[in-house]
Amino acid sequence: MSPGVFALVAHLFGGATVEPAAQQAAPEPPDSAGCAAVWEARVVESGTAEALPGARLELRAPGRTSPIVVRTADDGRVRVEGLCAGEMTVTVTKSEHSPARLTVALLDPNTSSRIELEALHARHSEHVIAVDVHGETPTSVSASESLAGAELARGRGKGLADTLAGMSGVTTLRGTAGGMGKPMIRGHIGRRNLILVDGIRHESQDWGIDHAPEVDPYSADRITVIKGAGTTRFGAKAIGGVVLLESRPLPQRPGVRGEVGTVGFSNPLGGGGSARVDYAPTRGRGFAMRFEGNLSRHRAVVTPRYALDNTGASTWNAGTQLGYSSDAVDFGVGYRIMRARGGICTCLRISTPEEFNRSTLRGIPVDVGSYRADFEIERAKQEIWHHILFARARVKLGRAGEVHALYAFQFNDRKEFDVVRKSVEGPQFSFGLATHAGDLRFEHARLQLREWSLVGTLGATYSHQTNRFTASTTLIPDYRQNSWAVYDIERFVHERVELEIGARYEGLHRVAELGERDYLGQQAGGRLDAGTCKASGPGGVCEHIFNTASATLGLLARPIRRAPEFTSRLQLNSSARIPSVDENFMNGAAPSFPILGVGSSKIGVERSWGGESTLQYDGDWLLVEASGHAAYINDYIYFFPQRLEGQCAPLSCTSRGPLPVFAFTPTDAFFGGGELRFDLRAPRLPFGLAGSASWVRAVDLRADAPLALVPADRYWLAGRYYFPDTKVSGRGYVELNATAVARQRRYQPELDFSAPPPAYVLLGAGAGVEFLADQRIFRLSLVGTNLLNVRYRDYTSLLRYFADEAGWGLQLRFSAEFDVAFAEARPKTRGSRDARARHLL
Amino acid sequence: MVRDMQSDCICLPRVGALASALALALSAVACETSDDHGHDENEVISLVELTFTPTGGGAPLVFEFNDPDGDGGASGVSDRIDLTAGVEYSLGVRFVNSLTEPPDDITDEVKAEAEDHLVFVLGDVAGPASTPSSALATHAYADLESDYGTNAVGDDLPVGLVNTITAKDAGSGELRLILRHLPELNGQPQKSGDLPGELAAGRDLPGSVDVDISFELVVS
Repeated sequence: MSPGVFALVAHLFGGATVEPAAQQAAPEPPDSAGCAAVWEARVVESGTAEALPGARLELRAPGRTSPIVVRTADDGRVRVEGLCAGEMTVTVTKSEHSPARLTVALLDPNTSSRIELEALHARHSEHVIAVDVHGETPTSVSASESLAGAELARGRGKGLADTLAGMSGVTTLRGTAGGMGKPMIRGHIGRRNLILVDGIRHESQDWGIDHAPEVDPYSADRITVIKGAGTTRFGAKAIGGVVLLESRPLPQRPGVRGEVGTVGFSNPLGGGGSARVDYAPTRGRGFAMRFEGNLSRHRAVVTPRYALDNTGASTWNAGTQLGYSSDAVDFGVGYRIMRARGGICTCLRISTPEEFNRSTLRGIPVDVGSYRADFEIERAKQEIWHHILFARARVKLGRAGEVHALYAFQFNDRKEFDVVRKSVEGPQFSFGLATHAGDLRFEHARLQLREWSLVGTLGATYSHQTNRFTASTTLIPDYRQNSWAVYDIERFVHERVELEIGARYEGLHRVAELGERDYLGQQAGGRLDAGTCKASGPGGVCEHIFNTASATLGLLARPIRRAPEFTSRLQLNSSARIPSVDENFMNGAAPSFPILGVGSSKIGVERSWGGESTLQYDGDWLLVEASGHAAYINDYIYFFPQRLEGQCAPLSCTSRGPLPVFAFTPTDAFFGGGELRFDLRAPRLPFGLAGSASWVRAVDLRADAPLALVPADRYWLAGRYYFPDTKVSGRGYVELNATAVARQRRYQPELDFSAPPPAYVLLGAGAGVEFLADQRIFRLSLVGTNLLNVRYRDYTSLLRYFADEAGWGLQLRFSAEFDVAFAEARPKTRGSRDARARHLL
Repeated sequence: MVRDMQSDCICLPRVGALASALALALSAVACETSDDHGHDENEVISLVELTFTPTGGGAPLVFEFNDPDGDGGASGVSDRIDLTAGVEYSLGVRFVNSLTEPPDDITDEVKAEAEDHLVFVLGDVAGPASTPSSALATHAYADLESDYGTNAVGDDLPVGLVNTITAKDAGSGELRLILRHLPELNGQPQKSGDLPGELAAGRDLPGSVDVDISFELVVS
C-alpha cells in the first residue's frame, strides 16, 4: 500500500466525493499523468450468482487523496477508468448483504474482479418483490432501528434488553436479578411488545415484570425494533412495538464459515465465549447446516458503594439447524435450547410494610456489610430452560407468488426459588408453558397497475398453548388456549410513494382451570364473570372467547425527487389486544413485593387508536430522524390499587402483614411522545457525532393522572474519532459518550412505593478495531460504562426500591470470523490477485 | 390450577438433545391430562395459633390468625385476644400451612432451624422488642435454641416459640407477632441477641419476614 493510500484511508468514513450511479464511472482526474488503468468489477450475490444493482463501492486508489465512490448498474457491473498502477482497496456495501473488502492489484491496463456478497435476507421470488429483489428491506411504515455487524458485535454478551437499550425510544425495565431486564418500547413492556426470533413468536411467562425474555441475542445477526404498533402483521401483542431477531441465513455457497468470540466484563466480573460454524457441502448443493453455542457466567454486580449480593448469573445456549435452499424451494429444521440461572439480589427481601418504606428512604440495604460479589447463586433465584423446535419451508408457485410455512414448538420451563427453610429443596413456583404455533402466508405475485406495483401477503396463524403452574399458593391458573388469525397486507408501490393497507381478524379461546381456593376466593371478591365461569369439581372453570379486528394504513413517501434519501412515513392504526391470563386471573402476591395482585375475568379487549409520523434523511454522511407518536387506548388494562373493607381496611390482612391490593382495571389512556436521532460522519474529517433523545408521555384519562412506570426523558450523545486504516487494520475508532436521564416528574405518589429517583448522567467510552487477514477478520473492542462511578437509580428499574445500579465497568470483546469456500466451477478473476472477495467485514 | 405438589412433567425438558426435544413436544401435550405430583416444596404459613395457658393452672385459651386463601385477594382474619388482668400465661406459638391436605405444621421446621428464627412480640406489650409508653401486658422469652437441638452457632438465644405473657392493667390495644427468618448470609449468622432491642429502637432487621400479624388485645 502506497503512502498516499494511508492519507486516503484516513478519510475512510469521510463520505462520498464522487458517486455516479452509472456503470461508467468518471472519477476525479488523477494527480499525475500516466494513470490510465481500467478496473471493471461485477458484484453478485453469493450462491445465486445474481447481479446486485446499486451496490456501493468505495475505492482507495493509489495516487488519490480522496476515495472514489461508485455504484453498480442494473447488471451488477461497474467500470472505473484513469487509475494509477498499484494496490487498491475496495469496500463494497449493499443493503441486506454482508459487506466485503478486497485488495486489487492494478498491474495491467485492464483489471477485472468478481465480487460476491452474501445475502442476509431470505430468498424471495422476484415475482413477489416490488422494487429490488436483492435490496428489499423489511420496509416498515413505522419508525424502526436495526443493530447489525460491528454495532451488534459491540453488544455481544449482554442480555436482549441491554443490547437494545442504546436505541432511541427503547429503554430497559430492569429486574432485581443480575443482568435481567425487559425491553420497553415507547413506554410499553411485556404484554404489549412482541419478540420474534426468526419469525417465531417468543412465548414465555412475560406477565412477571421481573421476568426477562429467554432470548439469545447471540443467535441474531440483525436485531430490528419496530417502534409502533405492528398488530396487523404480527398480532395483538405487538400493540406497543416489535423486536425482530434474525439469524444469518445458512450459506448458499459450498464452504465452511463461522465465528468464534469471547467477552470479558469487569462489572459484574465474568465473561463468556461463543462459536458458530456453518457448513455447506460441495456435493448436495443447496444443503447447509449450522451448529452454534455460547456460554457466559458472571459474579454479582458491584455498585459504587457495595456489591449486590447474589446477583451472579450463568447462561448457556446451543442450537443447530439444517436447511436446503434453491430458487424454487427452501426448507429448514432446527432446535435451540437456553439455560439460564440467576440469583435475585439479597437486597430484595420480604419485609414489613414499614421496613420497606424505611428502606426506600434510607437508600442502602440494611445488612450491606455482609454482601459479597461472588459467583455463587443462592436462593432466591430463578432457573429457566427454554426450548424451540422449528421447521420452515418456502415454495415458489411459479408466477403466482410463493408460500411460506412455519411450525414451531416452544417449551418454557421456569422455576423460582425463595429463601426457605433448609428442609425444602425444590422451587416454590414452577411454570411450564408449551406452545405449538403454525404460520402460513402467501405472498402473491406483483401486480402492475400502470405506474404502480402491488405486492402483498395473505396469511393465517394458529397456536395452541398450555400453561402449568405449580405452587401451594394461588397466583396464575393453569390454562389452555387456542388462538388463530387471518390477515392481509397490501402495498402499493410507486416510484416515490408506497401505500400500505392491512387488516387482521383474530380469535382466542381460553379455558382456565381454577383450584378450589382460587375459585372461591375470586368469586367472593366479585372478580369472576358468572357468564363465563362455572363451578367444576372442587374449583371452577372459566371459558373465554375473544374475537377482534385490527387495521393499518401506512404511507411512505420520498417527497423530494432530487433527494431520495429523504423519506416521510405516516401510519394510522387501530389495534386490539386480548387480555392476558394474569390480567384476567392473577390472584396472589407479587414475588417479593409487598403487594397483592388480582385480575378480573370481566376484563375485555383493549383497543388503541394511534398514529405516528417519521421524517428521515439517510445520506452518506448524515442520518437524521425525527418521529412523533400518539395513541388513545380505550379500556387500557392498568394495575391499580384498590381499597378493601375489613380488619385491615383499606389493606388486606395477610400472614406477612397488611398489604395493599392492586387490581387490573380498565381505564382510558393516552400515550404520546417522540424520538430524535442523528449520526453525522464529517465529510473529509475523521470525526463523527451521534445523538438521540426520546420522550414519552402517558396519562390515565379517567383519573386525569400520569401512568406509572413510564420512562423518563432520555438523551444520549457520542463523539467519535476514526483512525486511518492500515494494511492490517481498519475501522478503528475511539468514542466518548454521555447518557442523561431526567427525573420522572409525572407520577402518582399513591401508585408507587417511593418517589422517582433523581436525574443522572453517565459517562461512557469505547474503542474498537478490526484486523483483516486472508479469509479471516478479527474484531477487538473495549467499552467502558459509568466511568465516573456515579451512584444512580433508574425509574424503570425494580432495583430502585432497594439498591443502586452498577458502578463503573469495562467490557473487552474479541471475535474471529472465518470463511473458507470450497472449490467449484466459477468464472475466474482476470488480472488481479483476488480470486474472490468474501464477506469479511 | 394451583397444585400442592410439583408436576413431574415440567422436569422432562432438562435433557437438551434434539431427540429429547421431539419427545418433549409429546410429553408437554401429555402433561395436559397428567396429575402426577411430586412432593411439596412450599411452606406457606396461612394459620398462626397462639395458645395462652395460665401458669397458675386453668384451661388454655387459643386464638388464631387465619388466611384460608393464602396470598389470594381475600383478607385474613385474626381473633380478638381476651386475657385476664394480673394473670401470667405461657404463650405457645404454632405456625401452620393450612393450604395443604393434611395441614402442614411449619413449627417443626422452625424448631429444626431454631438458630435461624426469632419470634418478636410487640404492640401494646412491653418486652425485649417493644417499649410502649403504656403496656397492657409484658413479654419475656421462655425458650432457648438448645431446647430444640444443639446450639451450634454463637450464643444460646431465645426462639420465641414459648413465651411468658403477663396481663397487667385492664384496657384494649394491640398485640403484634413477627416471625423473622434469619438464615446465614455468606457464612455470617444474621440472628443475634441484639435484634429485639434493635426492633424496639425502630431500626430495621436483617433477614426476611415469615409472619407479621396483629391481634386486638383486650385485658379485663
